[in-house]
Order: sequence, then structure tokens, then C-alpha cells
Amino acid sequence: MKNKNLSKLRLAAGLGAIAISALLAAPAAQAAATILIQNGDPAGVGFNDATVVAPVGGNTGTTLGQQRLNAFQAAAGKWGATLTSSSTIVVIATFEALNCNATGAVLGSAGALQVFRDFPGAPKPGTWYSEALTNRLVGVNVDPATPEIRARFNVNLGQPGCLTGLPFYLGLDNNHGPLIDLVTVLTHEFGHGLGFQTFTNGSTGAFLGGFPAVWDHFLFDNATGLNWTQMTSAQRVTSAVGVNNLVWTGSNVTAAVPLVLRGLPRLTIGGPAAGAAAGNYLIGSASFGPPLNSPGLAADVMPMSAANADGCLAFGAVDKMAVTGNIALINRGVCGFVIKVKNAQLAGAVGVIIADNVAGSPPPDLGGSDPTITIPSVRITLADSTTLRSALTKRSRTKSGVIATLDANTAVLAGTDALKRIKMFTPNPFQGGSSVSHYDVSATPNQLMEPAISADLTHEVTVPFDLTFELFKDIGW
Amino acid sequence: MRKIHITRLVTIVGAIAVSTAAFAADKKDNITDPATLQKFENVRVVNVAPVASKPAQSSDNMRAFIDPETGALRAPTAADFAQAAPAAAKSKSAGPAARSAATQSSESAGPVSIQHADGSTSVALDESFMSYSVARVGADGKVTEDCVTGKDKMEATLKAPVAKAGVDRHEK
Repeated sequence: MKNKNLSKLRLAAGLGAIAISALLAAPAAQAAATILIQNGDPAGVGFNDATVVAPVGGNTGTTLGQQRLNAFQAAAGKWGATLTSSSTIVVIATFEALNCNATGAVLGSAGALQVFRDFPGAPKPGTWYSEALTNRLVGVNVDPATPEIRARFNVNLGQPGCLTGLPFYLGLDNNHGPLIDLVTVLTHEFGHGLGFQTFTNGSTGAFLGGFPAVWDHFLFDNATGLNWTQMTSAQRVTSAVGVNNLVWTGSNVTAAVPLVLRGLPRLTIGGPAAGAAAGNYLIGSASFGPPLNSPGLAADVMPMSAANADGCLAFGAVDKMAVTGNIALINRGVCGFVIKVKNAQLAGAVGVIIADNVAGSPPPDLGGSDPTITIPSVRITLADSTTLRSALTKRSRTKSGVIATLDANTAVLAGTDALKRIKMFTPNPFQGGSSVSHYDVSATPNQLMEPAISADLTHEVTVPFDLTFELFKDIGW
Repeated sequence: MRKIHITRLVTIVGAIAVSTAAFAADKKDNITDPATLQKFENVRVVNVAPVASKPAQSSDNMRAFIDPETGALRAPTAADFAQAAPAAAKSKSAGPAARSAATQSSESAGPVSIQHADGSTSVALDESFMSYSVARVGADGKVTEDCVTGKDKMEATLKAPVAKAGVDRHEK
């Protein structure tokens, strides 16, 4: 037996929505959807906080409430300009007191309020779709009474006792510095609300109500050769923790992977004097300077003089002569990585290899930030640096005959399998919610829909920056 | 997952009426006027009745439930509460915000499927499907931001120590 009253209401509402949609329909050629943000805060709170603030980063609001709403609009507008739907996507939003303490806080939450299956015209039978996507596929709002997305964000963030001193950055320009960029967080969480997630329980492997999410149709496990819709619940549980085995098979994402993801950064040592030091080296990548690309660059490796082995001082004449047009080999320690690399750059080096000063492998990445650095740099292990130095003992003042090539191995794109399909996040042990419903953290450059929201993300959701929209196209957007 | 086949369900929406009245009063002051906001393509902002923080508790004792078999009034069950939430949400007298809050109140009872005349089936998702962004400061002063799904996972993540990160911006 069906709930007849609800069905009648839905039918009436749907017919009304058809009429409205017909009147408001935009030209079909241009991608666009309208997102309606419902301010559900009470007077004086959250979006209605009248505290006077200075405009920041392109956000012209002059009250805290206005700036919060402008940030919401910026994130929603990004999706509205990217997705296509004749049905308005409604987000009911509030700023509330969410869980937090002095060193941790829930920034916010968002998600779909309903899922639908077996609606007229559903691309895949017996499959759950988020309400926003359902509306897009049906062409009308199948339940106008219920918003598509619920969003709550933390009204106390940055206050004493609630991630003290780290409020949301409300600018729209991504120039957030050490603060939490609200637009990025919103764009990510709205992504989940629009359908970037499975509705299958990764801990038990059970489908929601016995039916897969549209998401599950595109999950393929390289270890078993099975799609998630072909597996038993037990097999899905295993797959969800099968590190590096689960990939996304959607054609749009896969086609766009080479346009977005980079090859694995690589350091190869060769040249007439390389001897036993020749070969590929494990490296840590730098968070500053240009990424390693193909075809990359090749130059002689030249060590620093003993007087400035750590590269923290401005280079003297001897070191300048040695590194000009070459790749400088500099010891880790004493000063930050960006100082060393900047000094080498100013001296004329075309690249830098940082030699670790403590044992350990693989070498960690190089942290730091300096937008004026224009040459690439990598870190190698202490052990590898010893091997490399052994080949540098016989050299001239300007050449060593030991050639380093810094490039990217485009045969293996970071975050993909052998067929260049992007990996999904499947850590062991299973991380509820994070697992399966995000891209893997090995993707480079960082993607919006990885489980860790990285500080270097852009606000973009499309190629060539990001693969989120391509996945949305795969599932029916 | 349970399927609800209730032929009659009467919901008294007193709490929603109170909420709507409060909204009318709020409009006089301290409500951000959407007309004062920056303009963005493809986005609109509207003010709606404030969302109650715990709507289920505030309205549970104002509902009447009718046994689908006998038609007699009876005490509500957990399943009734879960079903009543979206039913209330569809009431014409409820503002969108109140309706959304009511939908959320089904968290404790788990997902409920509703069959529709067009052959489709829907499920109102509870808090276990919500995605949370959690930020934590590690011992090294670095901030990590993680996205997890479900209230339980969110709470566990908030309490967990931050794993040592691979990149330290201030490392020498």
C-alpha cells in the first residue's frame, strides 16, 4: 500500500513545478542551475549577525551576517554556474553552535536530505540518486516541499574555546593565509550534498534498503575485478579498506584525468661521471616553486662549498660559479627550505636537491611557501645523498658530469592506477564517511573532493584544475 | 530499513506555527536583508522561519497518531516520529526551514522509505549521511581539515589526535 496523500501532494506539486519551470526555462545550451539559499537563522545570529566588519578579499559585506551569506553565495554560485538543472536547488542553511574545543572544531556539515530511486526516466533502475540529481533528471522538482541540501556551519569558530583564534576567512579570493577558507569548505560540502557520495554503508557493505547508489556503479576493485554492484556486502567491506585498489570507472573522469593530474615527480641521475650513483631516486616534492613537469629539466649537479653547505647564506663567488645554470645540492638544516632555494635561485641555479640530514625513507616533502621561487626543488634521503656525493668528488668548478633530470613520469599519473583511472580513498582501517566517497589523497594536484581539505586548493571544480564536475557528469548531472 | 504504510496520520503543527510567528517578528530588525548582499550569478537568498535546533523534541508531544489497522488513537512509536517528520514537512502551513528541520528529526529512528504513486521510492536521510568538515590543530601548530560522514564519526574525529603530517611548513 502506498501513502496516497503524499503521492497526491507530490503529483500536484510536480505539475505546478512543470508550469513554473516552463516559464522560467533558460536556453538549454548554457549550463546553469539556480541555487536558492534559505537563511534559517534567527534574528541577530549567524547570517543575521549585525556586527560591523570591514570588507575582505572581495567580500563587500559590511556586517558579519552579510559576509557569511556572500561566502555561501560564492560557493553556491560556483556550482550553479557549473551544473545544469531546470529545478532550483534549495539549500536550507544556518550558523549554529557546533561541537568544538580549543584545538578542534566542526567547521560545518552538509548533505542531501533525501534520495530517490526508480523515478520516471531514471538512468539506472533500482539505484539511489540524491534529490537534487533526481530533480535534474526528471526535469521537475519531485518534492518541492523539502529542500535538497541542509547546511549547518559553526557560529563560534575562532572564539575562545572553539578553535581559538582561527575563524573562517570570509574573503572570496582564496587568500586565506592560516585561516579556514569558508568558500572552499562550502564548495566541498555542497559537493557531497549534490551527490558526491555513496549511500552504501562502508562498514557493513549493506546497500541502503537493498539498493546501490548510482555512485556504486562506478566503483571497480582491481584486486577482485568486480564492480561494487557485483559484490556481496562482505566483499564491499573488504574493498573499502583495500588500499589503492578501488578506482572510479566513469568515462568523463577517466577522459579528464590526463588533463588534470600530473605525472609522478621523478629525479633521475645519469651522465658520464654518475657511475654507481646513476638511477632513479626517491624524492619528496616541494610545496613551493613550480611542479615537476614533462619534459622537465636536466643539468649538472653541483655541491655547495663547506662554508655554506646548508645554503642559508647568500651565495659567495665560488658557489655562484658552481651553481649557475646547474642544480645545487644543498644540505638540510639551520634555515627553512624556501630560504635555501631562494638563495640558489638568486645565485643562478636552475634547480635544487635538498639532502636530508637525518636517516629515513621515503624522504618527506619540502614545506614552506614563497611565491617568488621559480625553480624546482626536491628532497632526497641522507643515504642517497651520500651515494650522490661520492660521484661528485671529481669535478671542475662549473661542471660535475653528474646529470640530474627533474621531471614528471607521465606514464604514471599521481593518484591513478595503471589504466590511469583515479583511485578512490580506501584507507585501512575504514574511515567512516571519508572512505570511498572521496578521491584518494595521492592525487596531484590536490583535488577538492579529497577527504583532507588542502590549503592549496583553488575554488575551481572543473578541468584543468579539478575532477569534481567530471564525476558529476558520470553520475548523471 | 522499514517501510511505512500509514493510511492516516494527523500532525498538529503547533511548533511550526510558533516558529512562523517568531519569523514575522524577526523581520523587523536584525535580519539580513537579501537586497543588501553582493549579487552572484545563479544564486538567490531568501529569509525563512528560523530553524529550531531540536524540532523533534519540541513537537513530539503535540502530535496525534492513529493506528493504521484500527483507526484508533494510540501512543506514537519511533517509526511514527520518523514518518511524521517528512509528513509535517509537507504541510502547507510550514515554512521551508521548519520543514527541513522536521525532516532531520528522523535521525534516531533510521531511514524510512516512502513509496510514491509514480513508482518511485524515496528515503529521508538522517544524520548518518551528513558530511562534516572537522578542523584540528596538531601539536606542531598545523591545522588539518578532514571531511567525515555521520555524527558519530565526526565526534570521534574531533577527539582523535592529529596524525603526524608529512609536510611541516616551518621545518628546517
